[in-house]
Amino acid sequence: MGLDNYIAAFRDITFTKSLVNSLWIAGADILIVLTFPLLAAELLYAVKSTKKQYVVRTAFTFPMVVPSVVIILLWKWILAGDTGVLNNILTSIGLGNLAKPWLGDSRTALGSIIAIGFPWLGSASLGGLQFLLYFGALQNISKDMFEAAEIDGANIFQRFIKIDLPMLASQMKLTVTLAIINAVQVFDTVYILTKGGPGTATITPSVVLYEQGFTYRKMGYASAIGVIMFAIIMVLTVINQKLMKNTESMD
Amino acid sequence: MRKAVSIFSRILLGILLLLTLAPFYLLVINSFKGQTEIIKTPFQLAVNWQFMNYAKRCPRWSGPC
Repeated sequence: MGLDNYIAAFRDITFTKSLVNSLWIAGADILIVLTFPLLAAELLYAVKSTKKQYVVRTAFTFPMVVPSVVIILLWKWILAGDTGVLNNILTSIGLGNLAKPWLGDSRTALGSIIAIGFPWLGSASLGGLQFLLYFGALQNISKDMFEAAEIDGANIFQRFIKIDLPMLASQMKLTVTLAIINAVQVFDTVYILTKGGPGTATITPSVVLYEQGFTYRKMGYASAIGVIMFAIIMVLTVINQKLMKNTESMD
Repeated sequence: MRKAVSIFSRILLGILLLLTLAPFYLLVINSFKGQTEIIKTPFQLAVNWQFMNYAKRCPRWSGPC
């Protein structure tokens, strides 16, 4: 057998398509976790009242408490074709021509899978983890730095660029690493929503692995896919570690 | 300028809060509706409150289900 399983994997159109989908998901996830949760954390940090801050923070951690399957099924209903909430909203505001089966159309299925959940809190399967990481880090920044910046006449954007971003570098590095791992390993979201379809439009390596291993009983081939996924995660994580700087190195 | 940014950021935070809680609101209110009512009026509170969905899950209401 030797390397036969690996050769077969790279010759398998379904598997190569799943790798391409994974890259799309990873790229989009990285962009999402570096922008929206950071924005949400900054907005909440700007709220002066501790009580209000507490209420919003509690609400933002809600998706973490609810099992991910519930959230995914909820989004399946929101994005459904005939009875979907999103299509209902579009129709009621006069944009009925945009209504479509979001998960059933190969042009929108992958985008829908990327967009589900709560992007302003982080990637779907991790709930509000990225938001909490950023918010916690913002709270740990010394108030003296903000006061010094204010005395120097820095506006809110200069403060964000010169203080917040460098001080959040370690958290950004971690969130990107988590996003990469999550994107390559994503299984539950895809399997519950589309099972990789329509066709192979949303198939991911984990779904291929599951089908090959447990539907077709090709355990060797499924194991080879697992090893390839591990190697991809390893390479992308090492690249991320090399490219992104830590907070300590920014001090 | 600073006040405008503050107002804008509060509005944005409010929208994010609503978007976060909206799916859970739908989940809860629709658990008290029948299938037809869910499809017809997914956002409104139930007209005829039904507890059948919970009763089906816990048929005898004895112990954890």
